[in-house]
Amino acid sequence: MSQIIEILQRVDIFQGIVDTLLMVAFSTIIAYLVGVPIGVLVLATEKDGLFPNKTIHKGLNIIINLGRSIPFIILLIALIPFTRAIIGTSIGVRGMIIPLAIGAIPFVARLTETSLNEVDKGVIEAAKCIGCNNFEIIFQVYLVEAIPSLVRGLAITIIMLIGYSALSGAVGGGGLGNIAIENGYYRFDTKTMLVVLVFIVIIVQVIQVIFDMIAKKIDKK
Amino acid sequence: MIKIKNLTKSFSVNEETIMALDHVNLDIQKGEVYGIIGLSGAGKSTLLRCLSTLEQPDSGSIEIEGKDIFKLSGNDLRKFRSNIGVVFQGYHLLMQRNAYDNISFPLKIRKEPKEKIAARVNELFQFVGLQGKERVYPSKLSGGQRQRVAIARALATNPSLLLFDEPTSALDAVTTKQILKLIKEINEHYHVTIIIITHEIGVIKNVCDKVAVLNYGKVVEEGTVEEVLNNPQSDITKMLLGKELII
Repeated sequence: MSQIIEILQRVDIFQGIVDTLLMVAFSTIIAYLVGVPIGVLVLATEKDGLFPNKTIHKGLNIIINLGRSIPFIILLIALIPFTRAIIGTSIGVRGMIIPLAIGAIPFVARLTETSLNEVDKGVIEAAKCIGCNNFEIIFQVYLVEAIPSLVRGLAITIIMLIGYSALSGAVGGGGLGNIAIENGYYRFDTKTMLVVLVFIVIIVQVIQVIFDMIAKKIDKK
Repeated sequence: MIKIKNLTKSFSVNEETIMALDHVNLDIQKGEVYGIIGLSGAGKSTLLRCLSTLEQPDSGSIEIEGKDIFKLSGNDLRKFRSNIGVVFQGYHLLMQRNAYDNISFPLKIRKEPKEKIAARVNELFQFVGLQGKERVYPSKLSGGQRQRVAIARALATNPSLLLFDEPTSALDAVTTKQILKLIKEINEHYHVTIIIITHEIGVIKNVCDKVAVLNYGKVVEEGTVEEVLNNPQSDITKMLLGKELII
C-alpha cells in the first residue's frame, strides 16, 4: 500500500489521464469527421448502392485495407514530417493527435460501412417508395437507423485509440501509456507500470460501460 | 387507370432462367380493389416490385394514369413514387422512429408544413385505430399494430394507388379480419385504387372486386371475383379454392 502511495506521489498519474483523454478525444473527432463520409461513400458506391461506381468503390476499399494493415508504430514514425508541418511539433500530446486520427480513419470508415450495411434493405426500399432522394436516404434513413450500431462502434474506436496512444512513449509523447513505457520498459520499474496499467484498464472499462448504456438507451429496435 | 402490357421479367438462378413474369397483361380500373393470387414463386412479388418501380422489367410496360412508369427518372420518378403507397409484407418501418414519426415521414420528405402534417397524421391515427400509440416505437407494437402503422404511412400522402404485399400472411385469424375490414374502409373512404398480392383465397373473397390468377409468371385466369370463384377454369384456381387436390 505504501509503495502504491509512493508511486502515485512520484508519477503524475492525473496529468497522464488528462493527456491520454485529450489525445484520444481530438483524434476521435478528426477520425470521425473524415472516416464517416468515407464509410458512407463506400456503401453508396456499391453495385446495388445509391450511387453505384465501381472505380470509387474499389479504390476506397483498397485504400482502407492498406491503411488498416500498416502497423501503427510505423505509421507514427512515417508521419513525423507531416505532423510537424501541420501542428508544428511531432512530439508530446499535440504531436500524437494527427497520427492517431490518421490511423483510425480507415478503421472508422470500415466500421461505419458495416453499421450502415446492417440497416434492413427493406427499409431502404420503403424509403425509395416513399419518394426519398438519395441524400434523404443517407441522412434520414441509413444514419438514423444505424445510430445505436454507430455508437457501439465509437466505443470500439475510442478504446482502440487508447491502446494506440500508449505508443506515444516511443516518440516522446504524453499520456498514461508513455508513463508506463518510460517507467516499466526504460527503467525496469514494473510496479509503477502495473499501477499505471490499472488506471488504463479502469478508463477502458468505464468507457465501455458508458457507451453500452448509451447504445442500449437509444436503441429502439 | 393501370395498364400492364406484355410485362416480362426473367431471373437466372444457377444458370437456369426462370420466367418470373411472362407477357402479363392486366387492366385495372380506378377505384377497384384488385387481387393478384398465386402460389409462391408464381411471380406475384415481382409484379408488385415492378408496379412500385423497385424492379425494371426485361420488356413490356406499365402505364399508370397515362404515364409509362419505367420511363420516369429523377424528380418525376420520386413524385410518382410518393403518389403510390406500398404496404410491404415485412412492414419495413423505421425502427428508430416512433409510430408518429413513421407515419409523418413521407409528408416530411414532401416538405409539407408542420400543421398540415400534424392534422393529417392525427386523422390517420384515428382512421387506423391507433390513437394513443403515437410515441410508441415499432418494436413495442404487435404485428397487427405494425401493419396499421405501415398502412397509415402508405396513406399519408393521399396516394391514388395503394399496393399491398401479402397483407395478412403474418397475422392471426382475428387480426386478419380486422386488417381486411380496414382495407375495405380505405377503399370506400379514400376512393383509392388498391392492388393486393396474396396467396390466400380468403383475402380475395373478402375484399377484392376483381382477381387475376398468376401461375409460373402467366395470368391464367382473370375477371370479377364472382365469376372466377364460382366458375374456375384453371387447375390452379381450383386448387387455390380447395376444390381439387393436385399431387
